[in-house]
Amino acid sequence: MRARGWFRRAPGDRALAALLRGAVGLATAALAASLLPVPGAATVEAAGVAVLLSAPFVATLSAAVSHGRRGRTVDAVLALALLATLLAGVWLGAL
Amino acid sequence: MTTVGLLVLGGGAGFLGSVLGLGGGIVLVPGLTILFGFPLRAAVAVSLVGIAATSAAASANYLEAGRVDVPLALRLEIPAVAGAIAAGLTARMVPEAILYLAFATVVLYAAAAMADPGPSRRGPPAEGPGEIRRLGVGAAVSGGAGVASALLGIGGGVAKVPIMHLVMGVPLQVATGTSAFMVGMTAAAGGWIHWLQGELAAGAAAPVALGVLAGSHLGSRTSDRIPDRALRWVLAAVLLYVAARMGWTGMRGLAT
Repeated sequence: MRARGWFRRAPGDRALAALLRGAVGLATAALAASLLPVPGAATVEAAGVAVLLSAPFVATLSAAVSHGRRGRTVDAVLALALLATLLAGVWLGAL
Repeated sequence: MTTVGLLVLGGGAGFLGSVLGLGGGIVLVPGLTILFGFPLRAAVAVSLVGIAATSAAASANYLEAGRVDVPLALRLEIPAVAGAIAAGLTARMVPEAILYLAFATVVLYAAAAMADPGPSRRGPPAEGPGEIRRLGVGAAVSGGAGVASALLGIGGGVAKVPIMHLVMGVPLQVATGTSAFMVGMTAAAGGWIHWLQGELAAGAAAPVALGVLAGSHLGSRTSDRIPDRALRWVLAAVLLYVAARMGWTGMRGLAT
């Protein structure tokens, strides 16, 4: 494969970065709140962990959409295949 | 008190990871087992959450800087995630003594890498764009790194960065950024499985993840003022001790 221009931001990268920053902010707020001695702290901690561990799933979906829009079908399909693999892992783990 | 201790441990792991380019799991897993008495599998689960946190935060910066090759990450992550899923599902079948010995080996390698960063880190950065070579080798190594990640609670960047840079011809800065993006996906795959199988200790993930985020932020702000060489040698010595301690635990486990 030939790489896209290195050291240049691709069109979808900024949206992906914003998405990851949002996930980190949300997770940080939830995890910090879970340290307070309040009822339901365990649930809030679980929500924070879920956000952190779900961020790559959303990032992969975002990559699929941005590559699909630019007509990079192979990359979009690969992103969807990765997302399917991640989801299969969660499903298998829950069995 | 334990919460504060876990925050400090996470902070230390995040700081060292940011300043020295060391994956947080190499510090977190031994810290959780040796200092806090966590069972190894519980430490692995907590470490994976910490890695997912650092990866998300670091990737956002690397993406903004154009240092993540997303198409390459997609190609290498499919085998890595598959490896992590396979290892996460079968981790309970692997005797803990074997895991201790495997971790000791990885820590020993990390100690050697700390003592001698090697020509790839000392040399000038390569410039792109260029042709990516040996994608198959990279995919195979990523698959192995995925297995190691879910079994040992490490990110796998210790294998991914050198392979991308030295074997596949990716510039070092891009390899580092792409690896930071990738390890979060691998850690998430393993992390979900460990969590769903009840191995994530409640009350531990929050302080560790928060500490890691704070530590890596502090490290990125102060890394220019830190005496890198001295810190590398101190950490190499600590890692040697950790490798000996975990290796000894593994050997004792095999003997009994």
